[in-house]
Amino acid sequence: MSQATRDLWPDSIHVDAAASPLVILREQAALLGERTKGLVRAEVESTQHSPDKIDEYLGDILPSESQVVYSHTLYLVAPALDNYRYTLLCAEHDVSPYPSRVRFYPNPEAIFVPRALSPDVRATMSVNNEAAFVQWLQCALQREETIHIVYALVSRVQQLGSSSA
Amino acid sequence: MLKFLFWNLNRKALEDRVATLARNHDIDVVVLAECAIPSDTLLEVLQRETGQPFTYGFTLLEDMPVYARFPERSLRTLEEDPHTRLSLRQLILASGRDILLAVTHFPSKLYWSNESQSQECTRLAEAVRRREERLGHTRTILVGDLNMNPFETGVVSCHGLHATMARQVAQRETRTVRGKDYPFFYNPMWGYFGDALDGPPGTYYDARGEAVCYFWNVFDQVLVRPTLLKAFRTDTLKILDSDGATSLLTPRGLPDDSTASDHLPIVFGLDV
Repeated sequence: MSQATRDLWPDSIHVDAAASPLVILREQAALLGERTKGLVRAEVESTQHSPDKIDEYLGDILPSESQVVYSHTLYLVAPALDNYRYTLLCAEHDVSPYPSRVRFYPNPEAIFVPRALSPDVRATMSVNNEAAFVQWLQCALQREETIHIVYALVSRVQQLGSSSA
Repeated sequence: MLKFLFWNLNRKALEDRVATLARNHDIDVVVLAECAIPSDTLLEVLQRETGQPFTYGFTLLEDMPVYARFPERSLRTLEEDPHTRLSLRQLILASGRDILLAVTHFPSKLYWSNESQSQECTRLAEAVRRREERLGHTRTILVGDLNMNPFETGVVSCHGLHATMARQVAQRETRTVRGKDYPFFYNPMWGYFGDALDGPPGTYYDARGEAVCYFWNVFDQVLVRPTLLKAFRTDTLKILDSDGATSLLTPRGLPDDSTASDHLPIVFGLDV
């Protein structure tokens, strides 16, 4: 007779199956190069901030027991322009991936999250779950500013290519 | 000597005055902020006035252009951050050595509190340090309109730009705070407050009606990493009150916003 497996681990240990901002950002970053035939690609850089800087960064939205802040920044990169890179957006969180504080740098003050999600975001510029982050990111990537920057880089690369040809 | 000019133009059409300054001070690198002059126009006027070919460095922060008497391939734009208004440029000298030129027009106190400026300075400083690590050297100068005085937290703090008033201190290269090393900048602009020197008492005048008012501020600054201290010539650093032909001040001695800018330009030289 089989016996049910005993699970002695505490309920407090539970890893959410939600995709983290880093995973989603990397996934999207990988797609841009194909769209632009490699002229502009995106890269994600993650940094970890030391505990003594927590108050400076996210003290207003993160719980006080947080010990580490992870910051994931998505850059637009033009390989043919000496790997020129432009800071597009960023997501920051503590040991849990959500809530994440989000910023769209070309226009940080812009509130461009759909109305259904906007009250929380409007107050803290933070997203509470994967769905909200995906929706925010989609809006950011589809912003006019993003499109303009990508095309400005493509145009510059093509201009250099034609002048050196 | 490599000579630099930095000037916040307050979106005025001052191309003739920029070119006059470049000619009269034999400027090699022109760094501008709040510039609304089309690059073609400024290039043409610079070349006409100085008789020297200038290059315009590519940028997506179009109101912070850099023009230099360098071949185009020797003025590289490496990275730009629209949030901290930071543009990281690499100047490749004739000797083959390079300098990291960090240009910023940091967000104004009109939009950010002193506390926000301090916090965001952390981000600015980290971007500079990361790029130095990538380049493998710290031959860096940071120039721009910081919209903070040299004594403010964002400029002084080890988490921020960590810019000290004394060469002697900066020569230590780093300071350890809570187990972590932070590199210094030398900030020579501390010496340019008030009227002890011949030049103007600051770069920007603001007589606001509140209890604490400095009147003159030194928002426009150049910061130098210790690696370049020997090359940095303090005697060449000046806040200018004239373009060499015409005053940039009103008869009352304030920046003349009607014929020039509300900021005064600075010039400095590097023996490299």
